[in-house]
Amino acid sequence: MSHLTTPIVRFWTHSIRRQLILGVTLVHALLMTVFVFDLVERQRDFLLDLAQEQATGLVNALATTSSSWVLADDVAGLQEVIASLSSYPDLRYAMILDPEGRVLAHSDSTQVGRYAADTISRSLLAAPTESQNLVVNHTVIDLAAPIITTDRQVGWARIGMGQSHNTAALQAIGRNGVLYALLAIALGAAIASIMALGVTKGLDELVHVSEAIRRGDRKVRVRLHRFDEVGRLAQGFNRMLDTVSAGEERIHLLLDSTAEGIYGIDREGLCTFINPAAAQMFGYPQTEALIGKNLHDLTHHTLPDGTPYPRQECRMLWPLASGEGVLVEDEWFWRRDGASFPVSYSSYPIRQGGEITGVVVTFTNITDRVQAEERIRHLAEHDPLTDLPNRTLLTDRMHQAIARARRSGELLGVLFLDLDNFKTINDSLGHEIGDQILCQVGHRLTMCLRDIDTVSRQGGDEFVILLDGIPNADETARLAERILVVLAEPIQIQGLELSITPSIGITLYPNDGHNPSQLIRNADAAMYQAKQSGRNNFQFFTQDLNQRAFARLALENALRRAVERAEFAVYYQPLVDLKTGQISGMEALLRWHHPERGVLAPGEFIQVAEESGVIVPLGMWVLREACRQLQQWRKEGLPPLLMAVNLSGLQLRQPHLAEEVKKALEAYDIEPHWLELELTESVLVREGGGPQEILGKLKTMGVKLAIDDFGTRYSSLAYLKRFAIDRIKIDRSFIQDLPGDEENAAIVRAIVSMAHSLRLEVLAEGIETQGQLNFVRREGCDAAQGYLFSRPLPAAEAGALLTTQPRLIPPSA
Amino acid sequence: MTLPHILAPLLLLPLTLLAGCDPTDESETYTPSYSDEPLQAASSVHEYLFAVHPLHNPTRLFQVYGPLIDYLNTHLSGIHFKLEASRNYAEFDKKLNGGKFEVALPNPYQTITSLEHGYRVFGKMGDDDQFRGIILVRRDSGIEEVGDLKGKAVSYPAPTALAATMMPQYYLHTHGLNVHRDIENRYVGSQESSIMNVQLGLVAAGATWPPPWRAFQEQHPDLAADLVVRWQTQTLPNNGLVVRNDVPEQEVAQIGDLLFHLHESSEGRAILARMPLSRFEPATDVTYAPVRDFMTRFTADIRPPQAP
Repeated sequence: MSHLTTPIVRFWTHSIRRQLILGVTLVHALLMTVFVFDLVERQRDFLLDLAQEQATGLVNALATTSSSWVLADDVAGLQEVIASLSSYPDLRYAMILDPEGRVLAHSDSTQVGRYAADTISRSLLAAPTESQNLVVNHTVIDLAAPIITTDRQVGWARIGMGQSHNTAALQAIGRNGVLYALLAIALGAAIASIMALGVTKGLDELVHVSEAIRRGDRKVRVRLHRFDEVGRLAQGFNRMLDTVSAGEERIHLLLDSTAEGIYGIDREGLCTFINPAAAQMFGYPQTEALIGKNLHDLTHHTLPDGTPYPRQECRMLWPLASGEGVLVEDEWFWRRDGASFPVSYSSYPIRQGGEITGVVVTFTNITDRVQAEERIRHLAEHDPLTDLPNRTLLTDRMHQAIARARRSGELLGVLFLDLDNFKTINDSLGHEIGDQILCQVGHRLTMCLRDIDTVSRQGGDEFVILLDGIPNADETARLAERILVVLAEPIQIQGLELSITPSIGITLYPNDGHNPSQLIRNADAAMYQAKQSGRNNFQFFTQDLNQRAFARLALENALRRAVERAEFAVYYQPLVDLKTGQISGMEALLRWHHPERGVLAPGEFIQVAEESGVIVPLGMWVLREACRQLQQWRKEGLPPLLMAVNLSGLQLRQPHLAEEVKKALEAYDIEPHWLELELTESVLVREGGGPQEILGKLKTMGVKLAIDDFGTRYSSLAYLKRFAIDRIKIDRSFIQDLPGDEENAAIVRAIVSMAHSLRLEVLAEGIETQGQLNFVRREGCDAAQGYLFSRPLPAAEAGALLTTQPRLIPPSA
Repeated sequence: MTLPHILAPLLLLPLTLLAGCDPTDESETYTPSYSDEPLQAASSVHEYLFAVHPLHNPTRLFQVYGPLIDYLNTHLSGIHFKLEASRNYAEFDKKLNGGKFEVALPNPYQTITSLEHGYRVFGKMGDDDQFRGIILVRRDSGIEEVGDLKGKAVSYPAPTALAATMMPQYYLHTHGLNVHRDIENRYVGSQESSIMNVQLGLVAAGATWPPPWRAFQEQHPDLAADLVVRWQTQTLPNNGLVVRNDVPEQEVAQIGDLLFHLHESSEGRAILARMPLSRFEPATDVTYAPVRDFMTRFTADIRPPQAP
C-alpha cells in the first residue's frame, strides 16, 4: 500500500501550483456534482409532487364537471367534457368509467363502450369511494376520482398524465448543471493555476537566485516587484545576501592580501577556495582555474625523492580523519610548468555543523629557507676557503666509515697531510696567494682520489684524507704515492710557478686506532715523522708497514725500469702429450733478471705488476716475444707446436686485447690455433662475465683458451661452456699427493671424466714423479707438464731440447 | 502524474450526472388496456333504467329520487334499477322516445307521448291538486284582472312546461287574453327565473307551479313577500309512471306494488317527503285522457307545445 501512496503524496507535496489547482478543482468538481445531483433529485421529486397535485386537481375537476353528465348518462356531453381537456399538456388519456369499469367517455373515442381491463384498471372495481393513485411514477401519473352525487358513487373520472415535460425539464437542468459544473471547474482551475503561477514564479525566482549564489555569483539579487508575502521574502533574501556578500568581501580581502598561499579542499580532495597567492605559487594566473580541481594530482603528486605520492597517504588529508592539524615541512609542491619547490604547509580541519567537511591549507615556499639551511649546513660542515669538508664533517664520515669497516672487515686509511714550508710562502707572497694555493691543493687532492674518499681541511695548511674501503695497506701507500706525484706538479698562480710538496702521515683502521681522534692523532704523529724524514714523503704510523710500503714502491719502480731496460725474459716449459710422449707445446713464462736479486719468477713481482698496471704492457710483451720465438723455431725447422701464454685479469679488461693479440700473431705469422691463452680460474671467477666479449673474439679468431689452476676456485661450470674453453689444466695441488691421496685421486678422476664429457682436453700440472705420471696417464689425461719432464728453460735451451729430445716418455700402451 | 491526468477524471465527475438524467424508457410507461368483455360476470339481475324527467338538475334529482331507487333495489329481486337523470327536457324526450328506459317518471305531457313510443302507464304520482299552474304578480302591481295584463309581459319557464307554462297560458286564454297579441310571452327557462322576473318588475306577471313557488318562498321569504298568487289553473293528473311494453307483467306488478304501498311505512313516507309527495297510486293510459284532451285544445287554440 505505501508504494501506491508514496507517489501520490510526493505528487501532492512537491508543488504549490498542483496543490492549488488540484484543491480548487477537486472542491469544485465534488461540490458541483453533489449540488447538481441533489438539485436534480429534489427537482424531480418536486415536479412529481406538483404533477401529482395538478393531476389530482384535474381529475377532481373532471369528476365534478362530469357528474351531472354521468347522472344523465349523457355520453356526448361527457365526451365534450373530456375533449375540453385535450389541450392539457402531457394528458395521455382521460376517461369516465361507470362503477363496472365500462368506458363512458374517453379521450380516445374508440374506447367508448369498452371495458378498462388491465389489472390496475380493474382495481377500481373494488376501490373505496375516494381518490385513487393508480400509477405514480416518473413516466405517468394515473389518478382516478370518484364521481359522487350526494352519498353515492356513480362512476370514476380517470386521467393519465405523462411526465415527458418534467423529464425534459429535469434533463435540461441536469445538462445545464453539468455545464456549469464543468465551467466552474475549468474556471476554478484556470484561476487557481494563474494564482499559483504568480506565487511559484516568485518562488522560482528565489530558487534561481539562490542557485546562482551557490554557483558563486555574488552580485545577483532577487528582482521581484511585489508587495505580498513573496515580495517581502524577496526583500529579506536580498538583505541577507547583502550581509553575506559583505562578509565574504572581508574574507576575500584577507585572502587576497596575504602572501601565504591559502586554499581549502573538501573531503573528495577538490579545491573549494584558493587565494591569489596560492594560485600564483602554483603557476596559475587565475584562481578560478583551480577551483573544483583535485589539487593533490595537480600540485602534490610526487615526493621529494621522485617517487609518486599516493593520495591515500597524503598527510595533508589526515586532519579529515583525525580532526587535528598537521604541520609538514619536508614535502614539495609542483607547479604548472613542472617545476617543484620545497614547501612548509599546515593543514587544519574545516568544521561545519559539527562535521569535518574539508581542510584549509596554508603554505609558504621555503626554497629560500631550505637553501639557507643548506648553506648553513654546508658552512657548518665545510671549510669556507677551499669548500672542502671540515673537521666536523670528516669526523662524522669517519664514524660512519668505521661502522661500515667493522662490518665488512675492510680497512680504512687516514692520511694526515701537511704542506711543506707553507708558512714561508704565505708570509712572502701574501695570504691571498696562500689561500689560492690551498684551494688548488684541495682541488688536486679531491681530483686524484676516489669519490668514496674524503678530503678535508683541518685548518691552516693541514689536510686530513679518509680513504674508505681499503683492501690492504699497500693500496694506501699507492694512493699516498699518487698524491705525492700529483702535488709534485707546480702550481700556477698569477703567473708564478710554485712548487708545493706535502708531508703525509698514514694510519689504518683498525690497526692504528679505533676512533677518529685516535686515527687522526696517530696520523699526525706519522706526518711528523714524514717531515723528519725529509719532507715530500709519506710515513706509516706502523713501522713495518713503512718498510713494506717502501719495498713495494721500490719494486714497482724497479718493474717500470725493468720494462725500460728489458730485464725480462721469457722461459719456456714443455707441455707433453701423454699419448705420443712428445712435446706438443710450450708454456711461455715470464722471468725477471733483477740486477740485485737475480732471476725472479712472476710470483715475486706479478702482484705489484698487476696492481701498478705494469702487467698490461708486460703481458703483451710476453705474448709478442713468445710469438717471435715460435716463428724463430719454425724457421729453424723445428716441428710445429702450441705456444701457451698466460693472461692476467687486468689484461682481460683492456678493450683492445683481441686486436693486440691479432696484431702480434700477424706480426710473426702465427696461425691463431697455435696460440693458447691461459687464464687462471681465479681470474675467471673474479672477472665473471666481463671478458666474455673479448674471449669470444679471441675464440672466433681461432685462438685456444685454457683454464689454469683448475679446481682451486668456485668456478661455475657454465663458464666452461660460455667461454668455449679448450683445455683444463689441473692445478698442481691435486697432483702433489698422487697417487696415494684418495681424495685428490678422486678429484683428478672426476675432473678428467667431466672434461672429457665436455670434450675438453685435460693437462696435469706439476708432474714431478713417475707415480704421478702413471696415475694421470692411467686416468686418461691428455697432457702433462712439470719438473719430471723439464723445468722452464731459457729460449736457447728450450730450442735445444726440442731439437734433441722430442719424445720425453715412451708412448702409452 | 501530471496535472492534466488528475483534472481529466475530475471533469468526468459531473458528467456522471448526465447518466442519471436519462429519460426512462418509453416502453415502460403504463398504458391502460381495454377489452370488449365486461369485467364482471353479467349478473342474473336485470339492469333497468329508471329515468325521472328533469324538473331538477341531475345532482338534485339524484338527491331527491336516489333513496326511492335504493328502496326499490332493496326490495326487488331479480331487478336492479339504475337512476338516470337528463340535462334538459330535450335530452329526456329523446331518450324516452328512444325507448331507453325500462321505467320512467315523465311529466303528464311526456307520459302521453311515451304511449306512442312503446310505453304504457302503470302508475302515477298522487297530489294532483299540486299539478296546476299559478300566476304570480307583485302585490303592489295593482293587477287584479286578467285584462290588466294587456300590453304587458308575462314570464314563463320553458314553453313545454305543462303546469308552469301551458296551463297558465291556457288560463289566460280562457280568461279573455289573446296570448299571442295581447301580451308578450317571455320564456325565461327556469321556474325560479320566471318568479324572479316578476319580483324584479321585469314582467307584470310570472307563471310557475306550486312546488317551485313553495321552494322560493322558503328560500327567499323577503322576496316572496313582494309577490302574491293572483290566479291558479285547474288541475291535471300529476307525473306518471310509465313502463316499457317489453318489461314482464310480473315485474311491473312487483314495482307497482312497492311504489303504491310506499306511503304506508315511515321509511316510505320519508322517501316521499323528499320529492315532496304524499303517495304513488296506480294508473292506466286512460287516467291521462284529460291530459290528452288538454293538449289537443291547447294545440288548437294556442300553439303546438314545442313552438312558443
